Amino acid sequence: MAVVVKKHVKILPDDAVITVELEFDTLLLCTYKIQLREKNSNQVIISWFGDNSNDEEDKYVIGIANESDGKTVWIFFTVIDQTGEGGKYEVRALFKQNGKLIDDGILSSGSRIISPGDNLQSGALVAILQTN
Amino acid sequence: MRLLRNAKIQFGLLFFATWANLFPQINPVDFLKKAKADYAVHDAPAFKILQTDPTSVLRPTSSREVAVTIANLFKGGKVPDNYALEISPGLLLANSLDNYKKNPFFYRARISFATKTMENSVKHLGLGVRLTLYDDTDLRLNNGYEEILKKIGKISNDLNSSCADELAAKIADDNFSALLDECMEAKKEYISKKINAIRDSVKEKNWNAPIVEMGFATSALSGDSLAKSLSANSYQFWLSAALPLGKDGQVVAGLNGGVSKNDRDELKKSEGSLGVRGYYGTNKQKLFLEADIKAASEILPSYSLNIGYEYNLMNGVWADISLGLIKKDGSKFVSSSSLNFRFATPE
Repeated sequence: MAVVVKKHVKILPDDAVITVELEFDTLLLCTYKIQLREKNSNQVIISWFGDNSNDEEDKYVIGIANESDGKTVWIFFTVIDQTGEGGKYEVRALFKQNGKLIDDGILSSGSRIISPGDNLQSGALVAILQTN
Repeated sequence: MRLLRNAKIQFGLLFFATWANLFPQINPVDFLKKAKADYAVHDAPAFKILQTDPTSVLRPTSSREVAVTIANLFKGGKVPDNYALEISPGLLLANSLDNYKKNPFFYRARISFATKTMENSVKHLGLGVRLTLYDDTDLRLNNGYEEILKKIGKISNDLNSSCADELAAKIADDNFSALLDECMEAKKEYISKKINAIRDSVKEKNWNAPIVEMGFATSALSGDSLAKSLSANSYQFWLSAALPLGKDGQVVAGLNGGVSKNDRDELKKSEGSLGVRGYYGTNKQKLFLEADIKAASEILPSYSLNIGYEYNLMNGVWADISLGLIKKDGSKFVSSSSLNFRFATPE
């Protein structure tokens, strides 16, 4: 079963920059794709790809808060069991405005387990940005 | 073709039977105990030194769990009965793949602890450490393999994002999460097969990659449950190394030694073994040639030389057949033959 988490992330209507940072607690390999989509549309504004092989490369600028209301951030991740022995994982997305964590701005897959032989688990964290 | 194969099998069995009658025979179980060297470092040296095979081993998987387990273990200052614990110091570091790559030594290290209550209520405690000094078979550190997995992961994420193209308009619906889950799950099997195929191929290619491991263990006896009169009664170490020999061969060496208390309560009873084994073949089937020497204080060393064939019957089940010569207790060489089955954790 895939992991799907959907959440409204409330942002302040100002000129501050909105960023998203991904954190991974796992020894498994996790690849991801982030898409920023227009409000009420499936039109993709920008995409990023990455993985957890380097802890310091998973930070992205979404845009200016005033211009982000209604836009959606889709984070697709695939956790791969490299060894075949299984393992635990947790993926978190942290939304920040002007460098500060936004209230309710953490989307988490929760702590999950890939059993030996299962090879992978996929998931999606979907954030709907919303001004107060 | 089948006739030829049958002829080969019959010839093999005939040779095996003939060999077994060429020299005086010994009990293969006795042979294994007396002359076989340890080729691998035991997973949990503390269990090995106590000669115990616990049915349940506590393996806390976070630093918090480690702290709680150790606190409960020695509650009231008492030594627990028949207890087995194994922890990885790597769990005390952040749980990240990046950190694993920077400090694989700490993640692979295992500390084991075990207790056994003897018939006369004496407590026997064991503490062991297992270290992997070098490991080219470690799939987490195989950069080429990781790059291929990243590409597979990218394909998976691209397939899943196509679900978003279909479902973006339904994001406000109550059943949105269920629809997205269903769409993504439908694409999983294709990706899973790709991962299986590449992992099997890398394992097959790396079956003889270099690896060096070592282990230490000590055991102590305590006359009471409070462990106030602990007295060390044995120390043991293992060192094991495997190196490739060309594309299809491997040399494995195992060194094991220890010292324990004798009847006069002195730490003077020593024993040691050294074995070298050469393999030729594939991960599925191999020919092997091995030479072992085992020595202990107050008895003459024993020597053995064996040739055999090892076959992977199914995932986690191995069979090996061997013929050999051994010399022990100062006697002449005698022949030995054995057929063994080994069971490992299926991959």
